[in-house]
Amino acid sequence: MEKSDSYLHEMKTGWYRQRSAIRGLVFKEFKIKQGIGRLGLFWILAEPVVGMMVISLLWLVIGRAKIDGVHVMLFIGSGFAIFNMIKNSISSIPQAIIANAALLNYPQVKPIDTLIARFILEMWLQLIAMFLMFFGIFWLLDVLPEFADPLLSLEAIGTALIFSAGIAFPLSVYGTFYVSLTKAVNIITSPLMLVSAVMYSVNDLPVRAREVLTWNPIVHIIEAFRSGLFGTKMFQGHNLGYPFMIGICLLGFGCIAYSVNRYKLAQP
Amino acid sequence: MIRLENVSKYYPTTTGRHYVLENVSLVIPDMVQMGVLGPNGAGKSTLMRLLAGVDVPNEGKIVRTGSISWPMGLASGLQGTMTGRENARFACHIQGKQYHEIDDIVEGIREFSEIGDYFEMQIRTYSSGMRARLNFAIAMAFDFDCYIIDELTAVGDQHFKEKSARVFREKRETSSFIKVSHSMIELRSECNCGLVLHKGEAKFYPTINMAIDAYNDYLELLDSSSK
Repeated sequence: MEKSDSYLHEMKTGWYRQRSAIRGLVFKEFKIKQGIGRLGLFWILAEPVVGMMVISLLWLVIGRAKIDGVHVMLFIGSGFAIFNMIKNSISSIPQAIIANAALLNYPQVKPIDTLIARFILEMWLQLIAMFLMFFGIFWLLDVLPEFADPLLSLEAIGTALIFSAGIAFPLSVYGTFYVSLTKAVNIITSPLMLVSAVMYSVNDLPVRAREVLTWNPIVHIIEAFRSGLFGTKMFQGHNLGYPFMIGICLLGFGCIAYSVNRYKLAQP
Repeated sequence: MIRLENVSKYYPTTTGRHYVLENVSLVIPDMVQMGVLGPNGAGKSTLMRLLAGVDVPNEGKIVRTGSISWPMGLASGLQGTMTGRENARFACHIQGKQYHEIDDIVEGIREFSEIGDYFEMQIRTYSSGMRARLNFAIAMAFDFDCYIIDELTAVGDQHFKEKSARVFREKRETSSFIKVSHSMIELRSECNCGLVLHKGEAKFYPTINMAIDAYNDYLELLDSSSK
């Protein structure tokens, strides 16, 4: 009395199962973030704001209120917003499989579900934090981005999402097997913010430094985001396709790595 | 029904492959209460994970019909940093329950588990008995065609044991059970067939007494060879 399930039916239940698993995991991740303490959620949302404030104050203290003709708080804030999305894919998302090991005991939960769930939640929180920050700046200082090319900003956010997923995916697979890999990557990338044009404009740099910096794909994303918001001039040789292609390639590599190791990842 | 076709499962070790199951073919029919016997390390938990579909065999295939629970064991299935309520809700989510049903089901789990205020506390603060109660309560809140129980009832107090035995009696009318236990008394009273696992072999016995006898013979053999 075997069930004569059609292929389509199985695919439908498969998709349904995965969707409910991811939904459950997103709720669960959110609850845990909330549960860190009453201030748990506050800190996630406040993180870019605090970073932005500190750096902006430094600029203000040395007497510079505008960078590239944009209010220094908006300029720095926009950099932090994008940078934090990418930073999360290095620091937080690769821990997802290990953190949810107990729940892999449910046949419905696959390791990839924990990654997708954490990715969805982290990115949503970052986007909300970005919105709150811009709103806060507008409320306190009455300055608003001029939205010169909103489509370009959205493109930059989309590229940031793909780039983040591209980093997080392979790092999660191999980071689960080799815990020291995640640690090493975290240490190596800790000065990443300094070379990602978060705190300054590429246009202010000498030509030599600019040439070196443009190798960093994050710089392209942040500059495109700013140009879309404020209409700032992008540096010569700017190409949003560069981080996009790197993201797609890494994502493809991550899919292969996951597919090869998917059963090994589910082992306790 | 669960059918194993030439199933092999091994783990790589420094001295070569360690086979937990080697080329096993058997059929576990519907509506049975099956006790699984085997010494520690024989691969009972691995077999439970394979049957539930959490793990996959290295060779061969496993055909399942009907719905099968997750392997309910002591160490598994509950996330330490979540509260009992959150774990219960999570189980509802992944079983695909609708929003309006979930509150009722979670309330049912809370009452059934009888762990009181601990239901709102993190699992890592639980004793093993309380974990077992909650795990059991969550699993029994859903209707499966087959429940897989991995030494879950071993740690409960007398009251919990009686309660779980009562639930088993109710559920066995409509579902089958696959149960790992080291308590022969429990297996004899609740199971009607058995599976003995040792050295990569799995043998199905149509009655539990035959299975227990075979297991005892094996243990005696082990005893006499070690003397």
